Amino acid sequence: MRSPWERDLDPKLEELLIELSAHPQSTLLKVPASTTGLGAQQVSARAADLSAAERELLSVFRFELRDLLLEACRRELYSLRGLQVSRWRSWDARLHVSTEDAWRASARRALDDIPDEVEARDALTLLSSCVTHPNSPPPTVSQLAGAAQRVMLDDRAPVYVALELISDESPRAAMSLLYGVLEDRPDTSLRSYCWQNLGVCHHRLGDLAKALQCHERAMEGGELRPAPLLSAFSLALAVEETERARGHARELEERMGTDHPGLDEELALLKDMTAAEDAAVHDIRKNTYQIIEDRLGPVSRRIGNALFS
Amino acid sequence: MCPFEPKQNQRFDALRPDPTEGARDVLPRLVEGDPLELLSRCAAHLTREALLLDLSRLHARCLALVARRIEEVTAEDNDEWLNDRVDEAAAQLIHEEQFEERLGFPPPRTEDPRSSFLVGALGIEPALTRGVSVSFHHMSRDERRTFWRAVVAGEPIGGIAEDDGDTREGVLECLRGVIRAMSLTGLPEDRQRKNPDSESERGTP
Repeated sequence: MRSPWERDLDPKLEELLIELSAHPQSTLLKVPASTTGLGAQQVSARAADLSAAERELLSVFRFELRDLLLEACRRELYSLRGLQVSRWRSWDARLHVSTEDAWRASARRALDDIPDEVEARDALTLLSSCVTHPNSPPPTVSQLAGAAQRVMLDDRAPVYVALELISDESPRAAMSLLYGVLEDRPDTSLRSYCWQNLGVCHHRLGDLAKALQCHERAMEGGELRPAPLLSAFSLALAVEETERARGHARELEERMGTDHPGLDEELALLKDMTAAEDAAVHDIRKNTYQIIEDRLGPVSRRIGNALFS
Repeated sequence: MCPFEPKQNQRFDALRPDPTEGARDVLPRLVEGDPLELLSRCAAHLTREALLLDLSRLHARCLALVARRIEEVTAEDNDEWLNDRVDEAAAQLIHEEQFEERLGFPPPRTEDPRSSFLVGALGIEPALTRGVSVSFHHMSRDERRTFWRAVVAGEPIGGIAEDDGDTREGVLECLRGVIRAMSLTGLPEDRQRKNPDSESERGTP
């Protein structure tokens, strides 16, 4: 059979391509194959010219603007209560979050430099208000994330909004956003953050077993951060899964050790989050009780009074 | 060995003699004659990481990034800093392509060697090449490298197997997985395959 490729490919590879193209849904070999190389000849032939580089400079500005807005989101999230926003990106790497002053300096510089051609005026306006009115109420995470999305789509933005929703006691809305991000195939790291925060949502809705599952999924794919493991250990205790709790405890001992610099900080986050989750479960229980209170007898009312008075 | 010779260091300094200059002032000096040899760095990065990106576009993005951030350079680490900018430029292009693909509009019909390559090598319709590229960039570096060597560089399967300490069958199996995933990109079956678990849990609150 005559090869459809102008260039030599390994005959076994040609066979493989032809075989795979026979799959009814395959998109292979639907137009004539010929093969133009991607390799060395391109290097000598195609250096960028100035106008191309200037076009790309606008994209560089957009990325810079997006990063500034997302950094502002992160800064806001650290001030919200009841969230598990860890400062550890892995067991031995601490996340860098710029200081307020450093962020302002970067934002000021960006505002001075970003040219009119960058179509992100709303983001620039928001950034400008952050920088020029330091004493006015800061924009919400949702506002900052929304502006970042208009500058440059990024999966982190909806995750940050979900965190703000969790903090506002809207776990269902947060879950909708987080599942939406998971559907779009985020990278391993962001996938892990989504599952971790889905765990927080399920906990707030009182489904501890599901919450435990989510925190365990946050550890899949080699994503190793302290927060999901601490939560998984805590939840395994709560649902009386002793073997799972022991397994997570073993891993904590191995990975964290007794003198990990982030242990106290992670513990404080876990306690804060658990208290918020317990409060949320208490509120849900109380709401449900109040809805059915009129239809209850004296014994049930007495229990309700004992629980909620 | 110092990766950046003193002569190159001086040339680097000469690119921005006035610290008040902005990226637009610096850019023409970076483009003219490519004094920082960014094109070859970009080409090496594409081969090393096995990325299906347009080299010319990557070079242009890298020039722009360097122009914008040139004040970060210190005498000690400029070689590493430049390599980091190449890496950052590639990551930006991959990110953009991923989100353009999500919007669902066909890629622009401008000349793109990456698209021409996928059409030429795999016979994929031009409008599907960006999706195929996105799918490819989600794969592991090892899988991408195997594809790159066999399909882009046209190396014999036996040689790849020998270098990787694998068998010919092992290499072909890897290629089968990679090319199959690429060839089903953008089809309904592919969408279901991507998110089996999140799909089934979407109904939960």
